Amino acid sequence: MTGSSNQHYQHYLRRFPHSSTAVGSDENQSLTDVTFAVGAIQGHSIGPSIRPSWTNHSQRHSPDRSTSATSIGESTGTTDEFLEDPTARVRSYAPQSLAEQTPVSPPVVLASWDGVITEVTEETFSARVTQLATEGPEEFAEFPLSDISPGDASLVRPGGLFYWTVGYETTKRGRIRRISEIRLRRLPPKSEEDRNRAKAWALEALQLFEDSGS
Amino acid sequence: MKLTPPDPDEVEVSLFGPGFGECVLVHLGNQEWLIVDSCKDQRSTRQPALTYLAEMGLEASAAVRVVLVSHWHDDHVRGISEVVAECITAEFWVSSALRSEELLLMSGLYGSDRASKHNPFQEFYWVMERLRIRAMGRQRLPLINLATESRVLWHRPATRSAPEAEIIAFSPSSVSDYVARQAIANLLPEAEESPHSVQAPQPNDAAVVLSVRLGDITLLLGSDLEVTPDPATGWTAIVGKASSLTKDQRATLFKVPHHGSQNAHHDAVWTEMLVESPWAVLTPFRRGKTPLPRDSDARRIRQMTNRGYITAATKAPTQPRRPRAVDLAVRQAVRKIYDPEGQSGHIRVRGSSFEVDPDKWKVELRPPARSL
Repeated sequence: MTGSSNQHYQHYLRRFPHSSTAVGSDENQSLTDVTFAVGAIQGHSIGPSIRPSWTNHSQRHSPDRSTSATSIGESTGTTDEFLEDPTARVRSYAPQSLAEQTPVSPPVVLASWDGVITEVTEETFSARVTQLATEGPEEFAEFPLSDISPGDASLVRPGGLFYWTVGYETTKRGRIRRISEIRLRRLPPKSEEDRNRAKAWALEALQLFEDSGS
Repeated sequence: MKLTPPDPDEVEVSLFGPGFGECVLVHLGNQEWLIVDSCKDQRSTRQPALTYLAEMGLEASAAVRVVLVSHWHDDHVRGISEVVAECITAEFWVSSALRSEELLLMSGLYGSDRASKHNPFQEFYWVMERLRIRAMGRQRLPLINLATESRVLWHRPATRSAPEAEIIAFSPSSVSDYVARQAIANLLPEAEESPHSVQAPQPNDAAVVLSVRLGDITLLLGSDLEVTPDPATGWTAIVGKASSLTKDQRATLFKVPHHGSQNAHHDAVWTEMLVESPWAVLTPFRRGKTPLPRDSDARRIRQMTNRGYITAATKAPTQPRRPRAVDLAVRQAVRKIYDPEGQSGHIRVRGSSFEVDPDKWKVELRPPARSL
């Protein structure tokens, strides 16, 4: 763990001591061990689709600053029991090795949203989110900034686009973890051809207006 | 609410919102209508003004004479491309500040981009596309008219069945227009540098305030115009010219600007431009940190009139239902989440176009619309 990420994580623990992060209930647990729980699912590149990073096992350890994932709950019951259990936020368990925590089955996506940031404050950012694959209403959500990795800070600003996905995964020991991932998006810059096409379109559209005299 | 059209000489103002945004529908007499701005009901995903006209058995394609976009904020344009597509015989007007080459260029660059459902240029792009297609093979251009201060947008002489009607723009002033265009132009370099972060143009100062006259009555539709420090812009520019209004030119109904916010309130509007205790209608704004109107705003408006109505409560509606597993995961991941828009309410005020006294008019509400 680097100094800055350790600091970031300690800050997170102080702010959300009972948060949904997949850590043991013992707050004295080694931070190194804790880091595995978070780091194992943090920062996986996911390509152009909305597939969350944690479904891409082949790139499990490749850094991608545009992804911030947080494991938000864990249980050893059945999947159905876990998903229906509102108290299944944080379950106590002994520090584990990375191998023990590595999911054995592909994570399951419960829902994904397309979002745009509307406001950023000291601790949170607000966004309009629309669930993908449904015609549901546009909603307004407020996320803790601590869910965003420091490297993505420049992308968190009004107008910034992101995908948000929630789901769960099963570890080797049969534990089930809820996961929430915010993937800030970097749209590719427009090409010269795109710009020329847009200019032609704009000139044609301008003809539709009456002359403003300016 | 009885879904029958108004009489030919009857005035009607219908206000819809929030859905996503707000929309004003005005009967100009003679079954001719004006639509100002647009919103979409979040439950039905339909444009409520078009739905309402259809419910009354009216064809929007023939009945709507004028469509106006008062300014380009997403809570005033959602669904406007649908309105333009349906109202094929209507004149289309926009705030003069929107004749911006930079805005068109950004719309050309990003408007057709389907990478996000939150594309701020999408509606503008599709309006242009629909008008462009409509213009094909036509000799008579332009199709987009520019509303500016003191300009008459539409006029109909008196007919056998309906009185004379006129729509006049009170804003934007030439200064507002210039400032807004500059603000829009300044968006472009930023968009080029950071294409992941495209924001819609922000200025409210170039919003179009309308005065609608039908027979003896006047309506004042305040859009989102605010009070600005510069006397040549915003409400100060308008009230400076309103002192010449005679008592019978004062408005019986006021669409309260900018969701009743304090920064859109000007005392002189109420004392110089409106009749005593006028109808005051508004929509709430429920996104962001500070929903509008605040309690203090509602109190202030109630002090001005006892005929204040709002299309929905300021408090957001209940959260939409989702599967329990998803709901639990969502609640654990966010500080809060809610649907700020919900179902559109409908305020309908009708009265005779020869009756200036608001007492003689009638209000009907479709929930969640309510008294302020």
